[in-house]
Amino acid sequence: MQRPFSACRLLLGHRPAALARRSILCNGDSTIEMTERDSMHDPATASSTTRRGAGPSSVSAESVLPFGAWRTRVRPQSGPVVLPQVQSYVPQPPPDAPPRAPRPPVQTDHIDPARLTPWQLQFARPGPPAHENSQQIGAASAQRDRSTGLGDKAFAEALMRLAPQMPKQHVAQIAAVMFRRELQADEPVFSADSAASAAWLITEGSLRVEFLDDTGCSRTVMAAKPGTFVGIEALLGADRHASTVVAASLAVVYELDQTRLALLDRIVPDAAQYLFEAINAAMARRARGYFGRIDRIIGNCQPSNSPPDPARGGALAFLAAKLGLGDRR
Amino acid sequence: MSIGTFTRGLAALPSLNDVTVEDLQAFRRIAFDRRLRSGSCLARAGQPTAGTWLLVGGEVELLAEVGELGLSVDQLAAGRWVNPSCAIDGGPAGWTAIATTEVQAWLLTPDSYRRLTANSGILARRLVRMLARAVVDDGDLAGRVAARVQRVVPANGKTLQREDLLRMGFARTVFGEPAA
Repeated sequence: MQRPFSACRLLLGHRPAALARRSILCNGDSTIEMTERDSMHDPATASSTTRRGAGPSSVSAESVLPFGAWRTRVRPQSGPVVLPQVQSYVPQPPPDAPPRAPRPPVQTDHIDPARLTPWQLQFARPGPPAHENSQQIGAASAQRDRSTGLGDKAFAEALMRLAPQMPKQHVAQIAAVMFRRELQADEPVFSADSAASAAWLITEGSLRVEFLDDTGCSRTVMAAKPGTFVGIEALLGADRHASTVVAASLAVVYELDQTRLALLDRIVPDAAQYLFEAINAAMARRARGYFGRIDRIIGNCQPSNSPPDPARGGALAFLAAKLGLGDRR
Repeated sequence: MSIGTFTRGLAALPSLNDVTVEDLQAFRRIAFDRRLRSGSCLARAGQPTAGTWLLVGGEVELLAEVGELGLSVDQLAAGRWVNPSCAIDGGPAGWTAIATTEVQAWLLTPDSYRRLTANSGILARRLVRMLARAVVDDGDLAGRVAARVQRVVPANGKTLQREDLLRMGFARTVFGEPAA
C-alpha cells in the first residue's frame, strides 16, 4: 500500500515520538531519510540523528528519551514511499477500531484498577505481549502476584521512604513499570565501568557499594539499605557505572530503566515527576553519605575515643586539632 | 555579548552537551550571576553555603580539607557544578572550592531550586535532570575519594598521623571565607 509523502509525514512527524521505534519500508525507486531532532533545541545547535535507506530496504530508528519532545521526519528523496510501519512501545488502537470488550479484572494486589486507564492496565497485567518489553513487565507482575504480598508492601515502604510526599496512587503506577529481582548474597548487580542500563531500588536486604581507590583496589564505601536507588546514573544518560554494587545479603531490588521511566513519564507524568524529584533528593543523600564516610574514616583514626566536637566542625576538625594542624578557619 | 550568544556558547561545552540554550536561559533567569577574583573561596567543606554554583567562566579547584591541609580532588572548568547537592537539600558544602582564576558563576539557591521544581514544565524537568547528573558525578567523586582515604587508614589500629595525610597528597593550603 502506498501513500503520498504528506500522509507519511502527518503520521510520523506530528506526534510526540519519545517512545517510538520506527521502521519505514521503501520500494525499489525510493530513498527515504529519517531524522530525529529535539524540537527544544535551538536549530543552530541541535543534534540530530539521520538514517537513510534506499529501496528495496527498510530504515529503522529508535528514540527513547524520557523528557525530550522529539520529532521524526521522513523525507523521500525520490519516488513513492511504502506505508511506514510504526512500531510503538505504547500500543495505540486504530482510529476506526470497534470498541474493545471490557478487560478482565486485574489480579495484582499492588494496583488500584480504578486509578489506571485501559492503556496502563495493559502494561500492568500479565498477558499477551503488546510490545517487546511487555513480556518482562508481565512476568514481573506475575511474580509479584505469586508472592505473599510482603514484597509489594516492602516496595511501597521503600518508595515512600524515598519520596514521602508522593501520593499513594503513584506507588502502584510506578510498581507497574518496574521489574522485581531477587539477589543472593554476594551476587553482583553491576560492576565499575560496566555499561549502565538500569537503576535498582532496594526494597529488602542490603547491597555493598564499592569504589576503586587510587591503586585500583576495590573498597567498600557504603552499605545501601532499603529505600535506596543504586545505579541511578543509568537513568540520567550515563554510559558507565562508576561503582561496583554487590548484594551483601539476600536482597530484593526493583529494576527501572530509561524505557520504563519514559513510559511512566508518558502515561502518568505526575508520578514520573515525583519519582524524579525523589531520585534527585536520594542522589544528594547518597553524595552526603560518601562525604560522611570520608569524615568517619579519618574520624575513626583520632588519637582518643572521645567524640568529635560539633562546635569545631565535626570529626575532621577534631582530628585536625588533635594532630595540631590548626583551626579550619 | 548577548545572553543568547553566551548561552549558545555554554551549551556547546562538552559537559553540557545535552542541555539546550533554552534550558540555560531559563536557569539564568532564576540564578544569581556572580564574578569572583582568583583565590576567592566559593565554599568550605562542612560549612553552610548559599547554594550550588554553575561555572560559566574560569576555573575552580575542589579540595577536601583537614585543618590547614587540603587535598585537591578535581579541577572544574566552565560548565561544571560546585557542590550540586547543596541546592537540593540546603545542606553544608561537601567540598571546599577555591577559584584558581577569575570566575563567573551562577548561583542556584535552595529557594530557587524549590521554585524550579514546583514548575512541572518540560524545561524545569530538564534542568532538574541536568542538576541530577551533576549530583551523581559529585557523589561518584566523593565515593572515589572515600575509597582513597580508606586506603591510608593504618591496618594495625595505629593513629593516623599528619605524615599519613601528607603521603596521601594533602598539602598546606590557604582557605578564604566563602563568598556570599
